[in-house]
Amino acid sequence: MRVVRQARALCRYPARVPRDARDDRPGTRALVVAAVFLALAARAQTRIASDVEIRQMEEEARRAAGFDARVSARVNLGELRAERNESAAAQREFETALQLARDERNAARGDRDLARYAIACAWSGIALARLGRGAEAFAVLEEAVRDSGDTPGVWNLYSVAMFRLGKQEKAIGAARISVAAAERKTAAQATVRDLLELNMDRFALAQGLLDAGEDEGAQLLRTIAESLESGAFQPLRKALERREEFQIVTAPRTESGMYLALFNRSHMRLGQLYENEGLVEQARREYQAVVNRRSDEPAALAALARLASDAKERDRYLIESLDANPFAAGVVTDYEDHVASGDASPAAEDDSEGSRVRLAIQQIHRLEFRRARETLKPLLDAHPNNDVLQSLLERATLRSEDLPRPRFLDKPADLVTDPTESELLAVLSLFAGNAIAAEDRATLDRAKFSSEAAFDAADGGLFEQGTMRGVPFRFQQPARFRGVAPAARRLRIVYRILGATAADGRDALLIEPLRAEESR
Amino acid sequence: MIRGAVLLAALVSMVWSPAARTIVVAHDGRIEAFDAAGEKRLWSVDGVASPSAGVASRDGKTIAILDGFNDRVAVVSVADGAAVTHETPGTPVAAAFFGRDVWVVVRDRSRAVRITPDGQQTEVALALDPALIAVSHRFVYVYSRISGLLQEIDPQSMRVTRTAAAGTAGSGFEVELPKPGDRHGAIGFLSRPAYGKLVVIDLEPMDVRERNGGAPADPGAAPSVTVDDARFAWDAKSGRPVKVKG
Repeated sequence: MRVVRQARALCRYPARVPRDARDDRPGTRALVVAAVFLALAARAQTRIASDVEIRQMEEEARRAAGFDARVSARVNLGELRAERNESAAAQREFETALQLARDERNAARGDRDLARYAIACAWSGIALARLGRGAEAFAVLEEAVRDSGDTPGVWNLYSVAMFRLGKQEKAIGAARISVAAAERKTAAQATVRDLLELNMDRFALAQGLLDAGEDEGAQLLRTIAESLESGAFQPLRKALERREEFQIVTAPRTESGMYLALFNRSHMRLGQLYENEGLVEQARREYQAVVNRRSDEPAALAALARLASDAKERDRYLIESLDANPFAAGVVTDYEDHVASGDASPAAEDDSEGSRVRLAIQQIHRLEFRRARETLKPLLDAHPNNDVLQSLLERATLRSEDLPRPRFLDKPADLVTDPTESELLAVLSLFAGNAIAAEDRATLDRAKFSSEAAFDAADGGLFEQGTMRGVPFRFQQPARFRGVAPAARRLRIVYRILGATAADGRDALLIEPLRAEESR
Repeated sequence: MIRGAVLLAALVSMVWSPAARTIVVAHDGRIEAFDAAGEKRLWSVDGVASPSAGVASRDGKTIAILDGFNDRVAVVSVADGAAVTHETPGTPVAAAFFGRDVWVVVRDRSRAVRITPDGQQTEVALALDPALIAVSHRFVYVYSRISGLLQEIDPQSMRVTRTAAAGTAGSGFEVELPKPGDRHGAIGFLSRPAYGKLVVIDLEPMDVRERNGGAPADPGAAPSVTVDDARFAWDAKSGRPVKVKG
């Protein structure tokens, strides 16, 4: 099924989730907890939620009736913000989730409602874990399981929180208990929802086991994949195809949302597993299964790009991946490597954020920092707190401290022959950043340099700009050189460095030519 | 009546040693002892980072403070605060003393770990989700919550000798020792507040009976100890245990 990006397919939480018909506890409503999903540990980026989708989810969170719906919506929003590398906004969502959970805990305590209290404690644990408050998260999760120790959903939340805190053994231990509780629940008779929850618990356990290097995790993933293809889920699969639902969130509450999240993440994790073992075809099959269900899954597309044997195919997958999520740090890194390999197709500046990010990366690679900053500006205006964009912007800013200090600044010479790219860039960054010291300036004023220069086409026989060792330069004013043909492009020039300027949107050295001759 | 360790929600653990008439409080990386009025600080030593539960030995001379988040247990002399911290092979969730040995329930590993005074650790495998522990004169009993099993461990052979089904989701477990003249042996009481049940286990024949009621639950109650019918809770502001109502 090809999927079109559209906002209408956002998860819609039911006002009330079904009661557990077999709960036999007196005086409490049945425990209903939406199991929360572990995000994949590496290369786990999902399709970036658009601003429209985020706003819709925020509206849903505001409108949501009931604690479960509101708190899971906030956690989902926090995770989506985190996936967009908007750490400050993500933190605000988790703080809101924490406050909701605290209020619910207090209310449940007042009502002496143990089931509600346990659920509220478990969500507090999730929020605290995502805020990095590990010991508090542990304490409140212990509170959650104390009186509701046979509720699989509470243990699932416990496991997720510990996973987030890097407490692998605790995460595995809690996941084992949640699986045991869910298996007990589904042993005699199981609804579709029960089976989905069991598989979610299995996934949490598989994730923990795989991270711990335990083979049992892979078998669990295969069990999940087989279960999802079983007849029990056939009506749900058909319904999904009719609705074209595809939104994958961290805390799914609908059956279709749970199925999609499970399908996506179990196949992705199996793909990772096969990829790590060098089983390329099996890995490709798993990633392709994800893309077949959802064509704009960035992590699967990026994985297919990694496994592609053909450069054009790799280029296409990376473009599709960055179009789906331009802010996925791992994919950005992959694309940078791809650009460095020389196989990237030229990026055009259009309205899509993915193409702008690709263009900026290509401009940075070409040392067109000024242009890259201009390309990034509208993206930064739209996403001012995005960590990936901030990182790209930083790299699009020449900084002298990132480069070794040129030898000729410490050991002055009358004529410096063939300064290196690094030395020329360091001088350019000192000028561009207004960071040049008076004594260095004086040294440069006294020094002459000799370099091979590649000139752009001369205008009317006048030479004006080009590059030396790839570093852009521009003359103070266009010049003609005696004995040099106007058609010549490669000259050896002797010059003084005056400062920094711009040449075709790139930071460039401003130089005064003293003489030139055609290179041999 | 010998109480097993009770899990606490806050990062504070309080233990009352009746024999020493001392309140011991673990908080903020310290372990401190106070007199029975909570007014005089007797000693203060380095403790564990995130105390999660505590228990006193039967003779009141030693306490154990668990740090469930960091997998540690501190064994402390009530007389002078001399403390030894042990690492545990997983999350310690409950503890009890059997003689001078401290028995720690390690949930992630489904194990009970016996730690002797010289620091030797010996493990016994248990059912999934061991959560509560208490002792009689002869045996150590561990209740596993998700499997609903009560397992009897012989501390001499370090083996599980008997197992009884007691019901899932128990949250409190105590063993009442027989008094002189009693015709019965030790009795175990397991509260299952989520089901409104109290399970009574005659530990000699391992006979399990269930009755309605269960222990009243007060979720979210602050850590406290009961001293001569008065309840004391930790007051972070004044830095000492204070008497509270109720």
